[in-house]
Amino acid sequence: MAASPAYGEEKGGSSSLGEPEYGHDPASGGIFSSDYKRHDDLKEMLDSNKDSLKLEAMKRIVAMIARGKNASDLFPAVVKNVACKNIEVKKLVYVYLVRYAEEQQDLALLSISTFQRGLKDPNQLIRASALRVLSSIRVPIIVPIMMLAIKEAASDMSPYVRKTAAHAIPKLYSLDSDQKDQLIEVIEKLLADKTTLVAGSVVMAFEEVCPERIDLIHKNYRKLCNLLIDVEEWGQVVIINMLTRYARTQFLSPNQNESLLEENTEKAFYGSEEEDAKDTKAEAASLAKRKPYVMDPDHRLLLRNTKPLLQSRNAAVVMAVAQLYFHLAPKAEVGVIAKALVRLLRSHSEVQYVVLQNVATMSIKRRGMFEPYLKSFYIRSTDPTQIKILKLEVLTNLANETNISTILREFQTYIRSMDKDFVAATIQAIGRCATNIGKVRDTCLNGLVQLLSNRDELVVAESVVVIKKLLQMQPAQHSEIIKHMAKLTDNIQVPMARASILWLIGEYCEHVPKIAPDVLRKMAKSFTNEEDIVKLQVINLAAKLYLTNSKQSKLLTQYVLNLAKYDQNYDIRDRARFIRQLIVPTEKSGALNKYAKKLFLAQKPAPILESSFKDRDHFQLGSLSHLLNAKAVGYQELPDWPDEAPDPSVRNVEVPEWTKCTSREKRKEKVEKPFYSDSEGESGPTESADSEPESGSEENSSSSSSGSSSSGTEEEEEEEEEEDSGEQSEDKEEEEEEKRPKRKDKEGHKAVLGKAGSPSEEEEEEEGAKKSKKKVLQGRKGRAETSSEASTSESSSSGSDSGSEAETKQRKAPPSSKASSKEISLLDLDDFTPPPPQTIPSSSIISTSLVTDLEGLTLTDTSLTPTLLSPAFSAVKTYELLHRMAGEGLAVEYCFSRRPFPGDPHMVAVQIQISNNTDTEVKNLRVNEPKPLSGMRIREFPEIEHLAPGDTASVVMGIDFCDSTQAANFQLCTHTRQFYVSIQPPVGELMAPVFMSENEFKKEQGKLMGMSEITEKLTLPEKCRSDHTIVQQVTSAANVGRVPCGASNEYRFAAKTVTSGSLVLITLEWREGSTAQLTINSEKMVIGTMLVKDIIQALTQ
Amino acid sequence: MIHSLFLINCSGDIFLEKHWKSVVSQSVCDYFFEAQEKAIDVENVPPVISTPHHYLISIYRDKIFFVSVIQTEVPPLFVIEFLHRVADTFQDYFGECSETAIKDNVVIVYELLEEMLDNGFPLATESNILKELIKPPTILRSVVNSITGSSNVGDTLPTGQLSNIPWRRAGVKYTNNEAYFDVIEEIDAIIDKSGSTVFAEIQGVIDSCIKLSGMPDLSLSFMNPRLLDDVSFHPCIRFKRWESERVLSFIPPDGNFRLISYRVSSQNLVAIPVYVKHMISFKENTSSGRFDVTIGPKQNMGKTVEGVVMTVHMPKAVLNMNLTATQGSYTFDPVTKVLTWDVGKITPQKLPNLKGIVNLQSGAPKPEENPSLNIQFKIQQLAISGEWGILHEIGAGRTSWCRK
Repeated sequence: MAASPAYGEEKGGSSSLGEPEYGHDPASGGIFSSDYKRHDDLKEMLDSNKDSLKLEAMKRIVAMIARGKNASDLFPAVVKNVACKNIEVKKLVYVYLVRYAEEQQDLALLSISTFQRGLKDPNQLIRASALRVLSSIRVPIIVPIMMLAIKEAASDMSPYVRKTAAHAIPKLYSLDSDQKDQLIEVIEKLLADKTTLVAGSVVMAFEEVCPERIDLIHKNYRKLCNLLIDVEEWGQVVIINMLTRYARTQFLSPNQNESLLEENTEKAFYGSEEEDAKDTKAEAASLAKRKPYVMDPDHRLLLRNTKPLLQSRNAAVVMAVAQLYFHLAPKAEVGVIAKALVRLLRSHSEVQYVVLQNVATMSIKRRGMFEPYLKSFYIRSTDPTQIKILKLEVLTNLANETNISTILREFQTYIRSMDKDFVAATIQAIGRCATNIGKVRDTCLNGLVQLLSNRDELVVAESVVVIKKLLQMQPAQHSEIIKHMAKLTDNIQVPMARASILWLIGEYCEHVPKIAPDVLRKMAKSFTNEEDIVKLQVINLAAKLYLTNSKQSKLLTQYVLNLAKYDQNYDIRDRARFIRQLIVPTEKSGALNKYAKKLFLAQKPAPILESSFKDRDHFQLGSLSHLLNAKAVGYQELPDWPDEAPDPSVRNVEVPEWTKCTSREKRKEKVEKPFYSDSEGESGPTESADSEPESGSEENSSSSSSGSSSSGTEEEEEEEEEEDSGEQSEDKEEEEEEKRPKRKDKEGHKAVLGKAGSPSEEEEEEEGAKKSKKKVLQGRKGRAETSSEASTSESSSSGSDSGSEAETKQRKAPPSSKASSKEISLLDLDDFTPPPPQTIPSSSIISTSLVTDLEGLTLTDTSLTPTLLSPAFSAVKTYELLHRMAGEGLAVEYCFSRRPFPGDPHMVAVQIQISNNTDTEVKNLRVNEPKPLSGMRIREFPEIEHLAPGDTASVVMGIDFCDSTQAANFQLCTHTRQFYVSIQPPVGELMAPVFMSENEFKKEQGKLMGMSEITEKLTLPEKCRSDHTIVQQVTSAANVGRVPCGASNEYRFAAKTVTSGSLVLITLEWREGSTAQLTINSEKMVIGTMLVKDIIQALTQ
Repeated sequence: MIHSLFLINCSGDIFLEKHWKSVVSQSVCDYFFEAQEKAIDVENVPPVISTPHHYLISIYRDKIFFVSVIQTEVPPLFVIEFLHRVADTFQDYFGECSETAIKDNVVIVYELLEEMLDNGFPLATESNILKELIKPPTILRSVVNSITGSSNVGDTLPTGQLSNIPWRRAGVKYTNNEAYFDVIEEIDAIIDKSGSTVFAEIQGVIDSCIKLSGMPDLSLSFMNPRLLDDVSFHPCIRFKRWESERVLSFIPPDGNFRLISYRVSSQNLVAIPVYVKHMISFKENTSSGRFDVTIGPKQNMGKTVEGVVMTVHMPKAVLNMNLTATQGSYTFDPVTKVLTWDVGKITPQKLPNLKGIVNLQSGAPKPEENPSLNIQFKIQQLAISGEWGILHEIGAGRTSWCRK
């Protein structure tokens, strides 16, 4: 143990940790030069033949490196082991090598040949890791070798090796920047790569090596946009940031002509496909003639493809998308990012810190965006101070005429916090609100004046400073406050506050002619004990008084000036001399004397209190530079929008660049053709046939356009996958295995796509047939194909909710048996026996929680997927309970939230929204004397004690309507008034969804025939002829759950009435053309009849 | 991007360093120590510090500072998010992310860091891939290793890294196939003096533990997806499917992971399951005060409120507290002025109460502000959405509920 302190001293090690494990070594027990001896011991171990000894030695060495100790003298011994067979030893040797190669360049060269051999290894992972280590050794001599290796790896067949090549580019560049031109060539080549694996890394390399070569992006722009969603998270961040810059140089500002911006015209673009860009371009050109501003379709593509990433779990990705929207999107669309950013406020405090900084900047420019989330920025007492201050900043930025009262009330609580820095910041914030919003200036000022009597001196001082700034705006009206502050000079000790008071008195001495000389007298007395800033202000005050009221203050002024003359601080001496010369008339005094009054008592502009985040948005948001408010090294300026859009045709892609390699090109063509036709046959027509109806609503248009984009991506991927498999089939067996999951993923996507368009079974079958044909064609690829086929049928069965149980089973059986006979590894899929489909027994009614919701979970490998299409999209309809006029300013609305009422499953939850539009507080708001009809029960909401003017409260009450649509009557009371109100439920709200399988549905339906069945025919209007709208309309009309159904033109829904729990079964059969038949089975005939009416109305409207 | 990483413990020792590019001297951390000193509180150390030649971006997790050194422009969140991912990985591997755990497993830590970043750019951050490359330590394995001399480094090649679903490792096999989902919801609310809610929202996560063989493709549907207002996903979830059908469709990673986190839309429906009656007053001139707090359940739908812990940051002037608790035990730390009351389960018949005398420093002015109370509790299987872990806090008549 004696060794370790000695060692520590020698290396000046900051870590005081002993090294017990070394101490255990008998060899290191020597008293002098112990560490050499210890290293001898390690050397011996490294030289031995035993892997375990070597490993032990390497572990110790790595531990030394980790602690920052020097282990460089072991280099020769370690580098010998670079070719060691043991994989862990090898890895640790790599770690060592990368750390010390720079210091021992000559010896490091010994290892190079090992890596060069590794670069030729048939295993892609070994090739990749060899390149990785080789490029990490910072030895300038090997630059040519690295260059060669990178070039070779960039055209490697394995995307993983290509990814590593992309990583190696910035390493080489930092080692030798002369290689730039050659590296750019490699980057150009890799940018054309179509795999998601490479995309992120190569863009990273691009950003480090040649961010100015924006022209390299043109051809790859659309591909990058389309791949984006599948790139790993870190790559997404880099790509999005780069594309933001790119878009700023290539497109026109979307906000230049806001009024003329029309979404509808754009929708037309996105129906068309990405590949026929020429078409699009022509269209764009023609549109450009008609419209002053039309967003470039590529610009729109970027916005659309990044939007889903707002839901990433990775805060950095969300922030990247947010900044992209902030910098690129039309004003009307920027709002979408607010929700996601607010969500990040729940994350780690460091994340909050960065996000709030950015929100602060955004909230200055786009205040409206964050206004709905005002309350999310309220401060918790557990927040760290730096977060509190940032939140305060945001709150202040968001303050406006309407919400200022709530914000000020919130601020009042903050002032009482124990965290003094935070209190000071709050007072500043109040000051800023007061300057910005004239309406509340007096209120704020009064509040601040009250704070002057606070016990805490810091609070008082801060208030004085803020009051000073506020008073400067309208001094005449506030001489009272100035007088009050003058009194404070006796008590306040904080120099800044004293200085502020003195300045105020001096500046407005006309308003307080009596007090001012007195204050000066007091200050003159204590002059020598004051702080410097106070002394300066005393001199200032004296000078001003001398000029306005020389009779009373002449002597005092001279006294002060004399004291100042001998002050220790040269600033003060200097000031005194200057002022004396300026104001006291002597024979020698120059022309300035006459103007002294003008100089001192000039009108001074009121200070503008503004956010420190103003104008920060000239830095790209989310960047380090923005956070520091200073340009960081390597920051790429965000360019301004161009006046004229550069030629958009540069982004058109004719020939994919990296198919230069002719042999591959040929193979690719052969392989690609069937696939393309395949995908067209599948996704193309189906998709266009039933993409959502263009009902004109914003939501619809965006979703249909996203559908088309997805198919674009799909095809890209298809192609890429084909390429891969082309290579792989000639490559190795193991890769086929890897491809399987990937392919499956694809097919899954495809199935989703197909599902949106409810593909007919035949098509699926046909596809299968095609595939098997291809199998014959493609010889060696056969195995992979079969597996993918098996997975296709599986995932498609899972994806489509229209497959009836029996059918699906039937379809599932053959492929799986085929698969198991073909390939053993496929058994993985099959020996996973799914649990029996879980369905909630019909007696267990309504889900009361998300937990029960989860019971809806099924593994898709099961034969039946009860996919519930939910009423997710329909907005909740609100009804009026009390009109603003009738309620004398109290407006009450209600809606049916469709959530189980907590506490009583037989009650319908009614959400009531009460807003107080009066200008007085409403107190004791409660429900009184409910007069329910027989059997009806009302669970009142808890009394609202008071509701401030302008505030809105929301409460929930439960009503058991006894399965009737009779209105529930009750009184709504305030402390002064009573209002008679009634709630009448639409029949659709008297029920709750039930989860059941198709078989159960049929069984139950069988029990409810005859009298309990009501059938009605209807005609479906044009816009109501897609799955989506039908389901949406029905679920919005009634609170029902969808039942999976085999036939594509039949829709089934089930629900239970809330009170009695009787089943309500709805079947909608869509016949030829527009006719449809609606059947409702329920033992509650009244409900059934009314429901038929409601649903028909909803569908035919 | 990320140049170097230093791990620093609370007493300011740099106990691990790793460089991905050329070596940066430890002395760069002096700027960090300076900022730390200025901040007083560990929470207030600015996450981004600018020094003449470098930028330091740091996070604070489990009493360790992860300080990374940056030389050029990089989105700060990128680094912060990555550092948290590193801490998560340590947590995942060693069961805890503490100084001792890291020191004990320094070689594994080093190997992990080596795999996670290449030249400062993230390479493999998915736990499934990392576990294929470097096996997590277990007692059994360390015994076996020491006898046979075999290693922790996986000898299989990480196939997951090559696939399009990097989060799942290939060739998973289980005899019992099972999947668990935990729904954890947290209420976050601020309540004013009179007990009415100023602000409240529900945030939830679904944590999953999936042990299924092969390449399972799951889909999860909700009875009422309208509830989920704002959702963030694990990368395995297909966005498109969610957008069009509100169904979660995914090929899950193997083992534990967070599937989604979400915010429940109708924020105004939040019913707060406990109430607190508080009477805290300080008397002028007598240097003492009264303290009386009662906690009771409300609207908890028959579920018991358990694991209740209350912490109070008393004003500086408080010297000592003599209290009696009808239930549980309390401690008061006169240095940090923190009162902790471990209540346990609340039974509605006998409400827990804590009352007594507060001794103030004589001569000190009476605190003008009443302290905030933090109350943390848990309700299993609550009707709104399963399990709740809630932190509840009252400041001078002001309550806020925070996450836990």
